[in-house]
Amino acid sequence: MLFNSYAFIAFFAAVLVLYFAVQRNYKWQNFVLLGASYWFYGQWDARFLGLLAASTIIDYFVGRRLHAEVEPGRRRGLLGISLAANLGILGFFKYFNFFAESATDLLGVLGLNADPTTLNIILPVGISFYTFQTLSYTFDIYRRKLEPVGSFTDFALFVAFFPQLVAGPIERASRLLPQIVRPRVVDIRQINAGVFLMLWGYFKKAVIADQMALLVQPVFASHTAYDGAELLIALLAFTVQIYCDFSGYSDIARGVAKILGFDLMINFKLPYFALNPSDFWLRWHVSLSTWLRDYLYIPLGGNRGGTLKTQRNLAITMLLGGLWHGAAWNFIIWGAWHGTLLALYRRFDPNPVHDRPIIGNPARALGQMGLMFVLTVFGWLLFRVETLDQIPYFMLNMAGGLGETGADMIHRFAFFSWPLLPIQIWQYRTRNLLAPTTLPAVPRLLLYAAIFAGIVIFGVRESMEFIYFQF
Amino acid sequence: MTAPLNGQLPTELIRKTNWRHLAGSILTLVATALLLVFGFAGLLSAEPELGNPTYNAFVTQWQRLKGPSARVETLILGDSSGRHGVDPKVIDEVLHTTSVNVCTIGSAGLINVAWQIEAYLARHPVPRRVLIVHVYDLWRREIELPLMSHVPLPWGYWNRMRVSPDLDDETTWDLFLERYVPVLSQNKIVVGIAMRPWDPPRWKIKFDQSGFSAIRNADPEIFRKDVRGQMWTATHLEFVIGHQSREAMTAIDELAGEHGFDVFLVNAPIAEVLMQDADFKAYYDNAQIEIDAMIAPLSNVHRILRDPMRFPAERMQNTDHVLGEAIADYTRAVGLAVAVFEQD
Repeated sequence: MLFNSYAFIAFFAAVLVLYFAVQRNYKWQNFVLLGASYWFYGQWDARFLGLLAASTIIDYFVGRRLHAEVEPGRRRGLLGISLAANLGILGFFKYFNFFAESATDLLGVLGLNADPTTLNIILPVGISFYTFQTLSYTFDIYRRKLEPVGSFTDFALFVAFFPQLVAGPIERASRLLPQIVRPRVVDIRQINAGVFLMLWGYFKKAVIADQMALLVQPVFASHTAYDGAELLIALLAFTVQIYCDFSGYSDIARGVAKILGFDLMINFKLPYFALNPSDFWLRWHVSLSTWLRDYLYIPLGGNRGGTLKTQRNLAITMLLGGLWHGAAWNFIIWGAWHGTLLALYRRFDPNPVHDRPIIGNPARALGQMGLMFVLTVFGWLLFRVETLDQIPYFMLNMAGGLGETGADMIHRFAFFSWPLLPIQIWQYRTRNLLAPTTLPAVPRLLLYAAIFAGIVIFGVRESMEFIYFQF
Repeated sequence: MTAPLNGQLPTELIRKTNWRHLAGSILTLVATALLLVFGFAGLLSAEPELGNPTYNAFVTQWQRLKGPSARVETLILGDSSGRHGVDPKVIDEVLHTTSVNVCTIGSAGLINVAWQIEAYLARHPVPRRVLIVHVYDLWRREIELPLMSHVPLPWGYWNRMRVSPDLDDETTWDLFLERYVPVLSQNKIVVGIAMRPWDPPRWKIKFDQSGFSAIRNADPEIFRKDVRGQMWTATHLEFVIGHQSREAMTAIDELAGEHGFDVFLVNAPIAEVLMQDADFKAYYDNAQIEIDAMIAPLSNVHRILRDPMRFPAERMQNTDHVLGEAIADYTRAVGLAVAVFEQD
């Protein structure tokens, strides 16, 4: 079930009615949310509910044992069970065919013929998200930073909470579980913020991202039919599309959660305003980048072992971060690109200061922002290509003339993406992602009406899946 | 990877508010929705030419079918190749009959033809014959939801018809929105107006009184693109007669048997350049064999112009729409084929 579908609106309305009907008892509310979450997930493919349940059961019991166990070897064994189960499921469903095909190709290069053993595997939606989320629980208990949750229902809700189940934010057990295990106070301010987040999220998804997709898809589907500025516009359109698609989803998820009384972590903090690679990863897909930092980069040694080790750790983290996005070489190359940027940046600026206020030296800050944006856009080319030969084709042919098709693409690109700019500049200047909610009543209501009218009129009707569902 | 978050990154500052403000926000959204829904519906009824031209043409032909001018001996149905290719005046001359062209569009599929016949029989005397002009690559198609929503029959009509598609609740809801909320179903029009307010797009497909709609001008670019598309179809897709098309043909045959009229299934005109291509010709010939097998058990459906009439590029707008004098040539061939069949 997609957020941008009528079915979801009806579903959410029904959940709200039931949820507030039992508001005197938060445990009943948790039952309602758990049932709704499993129903929500089952709408994609009910067969995969079993995987979700398996992940939940394993980590629930492993968590309890981990907490009770004192002997280090046994604790490591228990953690290993959780890792093997979760990463085993993820690896099989997401990466089996990729590694089987890659191994066959490698043997072919070495002159050895092998039949590729591939299986017709369907990727369960959201598996990368909930696997990482539930792993954070066992990791934190292993490190004695968290106590296991008593109620199985509460833990199952933590794993399956429907607003963020299929595309994040990847919540930490230490943040979300405390909100689940105690009564929620649904505050009017939260609902107000939630309404704005949902509205703006839907606008970013249905209007900007989906309209950009109409520019992007044909170009990447048959790239040789396009050249010059058309390629550049398609790439810029994808830069806007992926941001609006994913941050739109996160906003809707966070808005829905707020209305239910939960506070999910902010996943996007104006990433295209980043001044450097380090700053970018504090703003882009924050729930994943901080997960990778806390559960991979720091355990690998972080920046504690000197320059070379730091760079090795960055490279491993970013390569795996790239692979997390999908079982394809272009994602690994994209991860390597960002790993290289981070490593190089570290050499020049070992103590990065993020998000310097631009009042000091606006020209310098804008220059840094511009450079980082160009590097990011190049990264999106690596990310989006359907075949690797598209990379040199784009790079060699992007600088060229502007024909009739290109002019029309520019018109559509500008027409549908411009609302992003004033809103984001406003959010950047005020450092408040909810800046529009601070307007006085009349202009605020006019803005809401305009956003809503934009969704109704300019929203792409055919529901397009969110890009990050495939990850 | 990086230092912990510092205070410079944007965050969320939730302002104080009250129920009155929240209610104001929600009421604003509801009022905006109502304004858009009724405002656009009003705009479209005042200026129909702003609407989707395909929907307008589809509804125009349906209304013609329901009106008194459709009381004829020969009913011409089918897709746009018939709408632009079969001129009732020529049919009248050749067959000494009265006829009307109520062809619509390929995306409506054969189920729409079956519904048109059923709706016609409910309002008018039984015709002597029905011609169905159909392009070879449309047999796989089912009716598209937006077109189904625009059939000008009372809501739920599909359940009362002899042949009916399976609709789940979600599809029925989509159908409802398509039918009654034009701001959602025809938003491309509003987008067009908003993108070029100084020159809003207006379309009108012109018909004569008999329902015929001639294409005046050749467009070599459209023709070339269509040839490429048809070649792609022939080399990449297997010819398939869709389930809905089969059911529709069976229903049409039953109606013909019950009411006593003949149905002539006519191949659309086709571009010569396609038939000169060996791969395409093989694909097309195979399609004819499949169609023969499908209608073999249908005793009231007869095929004419099984070997299709071919035209050079300069006499066509695309690979199945004829232009200029080719219209009369094609229509005459259709009429003569019917006459020959009826004499036999």
